[in-house]
Amino acid sequence: MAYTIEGSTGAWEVVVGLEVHAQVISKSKLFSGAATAFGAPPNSQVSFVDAAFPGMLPVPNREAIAQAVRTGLGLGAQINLVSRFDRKNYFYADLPQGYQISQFEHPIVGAGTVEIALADGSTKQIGITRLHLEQDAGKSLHDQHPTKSFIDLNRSGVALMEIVSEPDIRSPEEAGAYVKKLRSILRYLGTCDGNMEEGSLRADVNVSVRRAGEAYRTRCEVKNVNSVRFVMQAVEAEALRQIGVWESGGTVAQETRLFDPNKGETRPMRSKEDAHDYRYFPDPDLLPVVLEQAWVD
Amino acid sequence: MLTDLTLAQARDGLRGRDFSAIELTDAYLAAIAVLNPKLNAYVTVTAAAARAQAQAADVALAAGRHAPLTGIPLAIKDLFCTKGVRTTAGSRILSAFIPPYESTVTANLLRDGAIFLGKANMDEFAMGSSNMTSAFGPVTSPWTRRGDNRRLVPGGSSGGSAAAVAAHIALGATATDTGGSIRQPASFCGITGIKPTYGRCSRWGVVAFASSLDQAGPLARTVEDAAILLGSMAGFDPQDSTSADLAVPDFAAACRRGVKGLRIGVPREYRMDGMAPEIEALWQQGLGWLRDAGAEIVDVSLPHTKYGLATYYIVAPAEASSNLARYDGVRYGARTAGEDLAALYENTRAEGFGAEVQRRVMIGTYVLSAGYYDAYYLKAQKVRALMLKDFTDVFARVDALVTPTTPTAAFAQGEKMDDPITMYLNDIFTVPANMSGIPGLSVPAGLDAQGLPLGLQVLGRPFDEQTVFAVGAALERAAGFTAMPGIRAGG
Amino acid sequence: MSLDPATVRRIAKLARIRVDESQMEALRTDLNSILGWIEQLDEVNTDGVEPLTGGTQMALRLRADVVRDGGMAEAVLANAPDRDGDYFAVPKVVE
Repeated sequence: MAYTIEGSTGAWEVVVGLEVHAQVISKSKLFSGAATAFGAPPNSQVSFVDAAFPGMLPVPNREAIAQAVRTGLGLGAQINLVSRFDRKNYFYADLPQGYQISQFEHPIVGAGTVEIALADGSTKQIGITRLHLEQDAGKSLHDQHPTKSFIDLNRSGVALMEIVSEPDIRSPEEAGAYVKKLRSILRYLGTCDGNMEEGSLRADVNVSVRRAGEAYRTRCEVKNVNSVRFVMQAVEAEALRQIGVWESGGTVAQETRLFDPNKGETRPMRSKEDAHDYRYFPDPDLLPVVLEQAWVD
Repeated sequence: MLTDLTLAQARDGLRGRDFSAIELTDAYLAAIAVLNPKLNAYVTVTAAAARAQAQAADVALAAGRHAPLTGIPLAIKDLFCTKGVRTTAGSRILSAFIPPYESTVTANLLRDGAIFLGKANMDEFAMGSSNMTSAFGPVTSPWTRRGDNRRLVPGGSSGGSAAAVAAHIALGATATDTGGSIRQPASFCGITGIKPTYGRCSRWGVVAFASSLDQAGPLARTVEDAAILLGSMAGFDPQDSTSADLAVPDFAAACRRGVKGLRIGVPREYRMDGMAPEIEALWQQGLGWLRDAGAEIVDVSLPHTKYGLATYYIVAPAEASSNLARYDGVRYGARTAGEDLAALYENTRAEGFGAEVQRRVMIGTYVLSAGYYDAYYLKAQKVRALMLKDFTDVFARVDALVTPTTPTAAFAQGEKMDDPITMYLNDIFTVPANMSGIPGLSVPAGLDAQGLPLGLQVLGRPFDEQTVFAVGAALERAAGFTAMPGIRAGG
Repeated sequence: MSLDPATVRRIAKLARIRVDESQMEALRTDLNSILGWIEQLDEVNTDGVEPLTGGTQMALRLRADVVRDGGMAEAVLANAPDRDGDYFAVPKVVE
């Protein structure tokens, strides 16, 4: 029986896609030789490259690339022998370069699948659209000082795999099962430790709702959800919120939101109010990644 | 006078113990003290450190330890991060920045025994062709027009480096070239400069302007001097992913090769409408010299030449808009307060960047923005591919190309400031080499009617700087250019 | 392509550079003249041409996964206009 939410005007389907950010297990960062271990004193694992000092340049880590390929193989996905790094340009306190080195048009891994098992004994295939490598940002602490935020760049530049699912998920249970399954695959492969409390696995949850048989409606993104339980709660909370908007005659606006576990609801992210124009372009400090099939095998 | 010696001569003199490194450095420091107030070629003079380096050089020389540049005093363009020494990039936003690291190129020079006299003035963030955009004031050329005492520009962006070398207040200098910023000042100041092939010199520690175009290179008094300097500056650097993993050839030896049997291409598209007859005449004279020296002159075509500037003024600002995003007042550099993070960024960058930098960052932001990327940036990168193909096709038939370096001689400070484009047209002959990555050298070939230097440009195949040096040296020998600027050490 | 004042403001915002209203018109004029000039690229037929990126076309070198950097918080923080202990400090951000 498909999962639906009963609104005041009838049943609604929930459509969910997940973008999971998984920190790559590697000794050093994606583009610098600084260490990646969790819990170090602030700014003690930061190279001048990570801190975006003048004249600094990125050099990619072979192991990070290998881990992305291993993960792609573990997801039964297509490995793209030629991929490219692009700059995603935006300003934020935890983004020293003023851009994130990511992959836009040509990711290292293409389409794959994850099979999930549900409580009723059934299984379901959830499509993977792509996996790409990108830099993690630093950390901002907003509660240490009355008028200032503090920035720690230890995490800045750590390799992340962004694993994007197709919008095939249809319930909080499926969302939870997907994250758990993905986490176990990554742990099994040794490419990510999946520790959501420490932030080495985080999920951005894209949620929309619709009537059965309809085309997709507008979705909202709930960012940086850091536990399986919260993923499931966020799906439900956000779906309920959207249903409330539609049923009162309003229109759901495309927004980026945060999940507040204390209140059990989502709220808009203030810093993301401006529409982001990321001005993607190929990173001119880097060349195309060209992998040999023999190395992949 | 010690400051009259070329780098090669000074090197021989030091090795022969005709004079000491401290005497040579002191001669330059004295000249800087007298002339820099007028020229403003140096932003920072590192006299005490230079003397200490010179003393160490004398110890090495006395022990018979000769590195390629032991005891040679140089000016370092303020775009190269020098450890413990203020590095400004000509900008207010970095006016107090002390790098905790040494750029690879300057580390190579220190490895080879060079002495750093100070940091040379430049257009802000290397954006300019006149050295009028520096936050530390313009650089004045040591040259003046006959019968006219107006201050002239030395060219840019490496205006301080070029003025210092031309005025004999540095024996050589480092510089960078993104759209012509080594070759154009070399031409304006009557000295030699080379932009090597993209990837020949490391960009690590060089404040980035346009990553796919920036390249470090030397400014010097002679072609041989430039070859000696490039030999030390160049080399593979694993810290720069765009650095070429190739051995550094003996560039100085290549200067002695001659041009017998070489085929020299003359691209017809470099003959521009309204080009001064003197420049055309000098160009023809240069080709004649090469013919006399045994080269064959061949007419060639580079059909996409005229699109070089438009392509450059899309690609360079686009990359710069991203490279300059890091200047936000958070981790280093000047900061202007703001009530929130956005205001901090906006105020800091409005106060810290000059008008030309702001203009280019905005152009770059626009051409990359949603809806315009295909029409501008992607289009420009395709035209760039066509420009490279023009060169590749031509280099199947000739070994080098010879063209004028600039469409005019140096202009006065304050001229060409009415609109940005008049200034941008200075780069018309130099930009194609940056867009395609090939090496380009400018050698002084003659004077115009007002007594100002004019340069000829030699372009070569990727990683064939040796042929470029050979042709440049042949032009230098034939030209017999001995003119000196009015403002110089001992002048 | 001619920029209107709203577009100039939007670009300035994206670029995080404050432009006062008094400077807006001069900037708009300069930007428009530059953009008009670079539009000559429309004349060039680039059908089927692969865009160039970087001066020499090689494949990317990969580095061994060894820690040989970092561990220098003081050097990283030494140039900071505002720091608090071992953190960089900025005006408080409300998420």
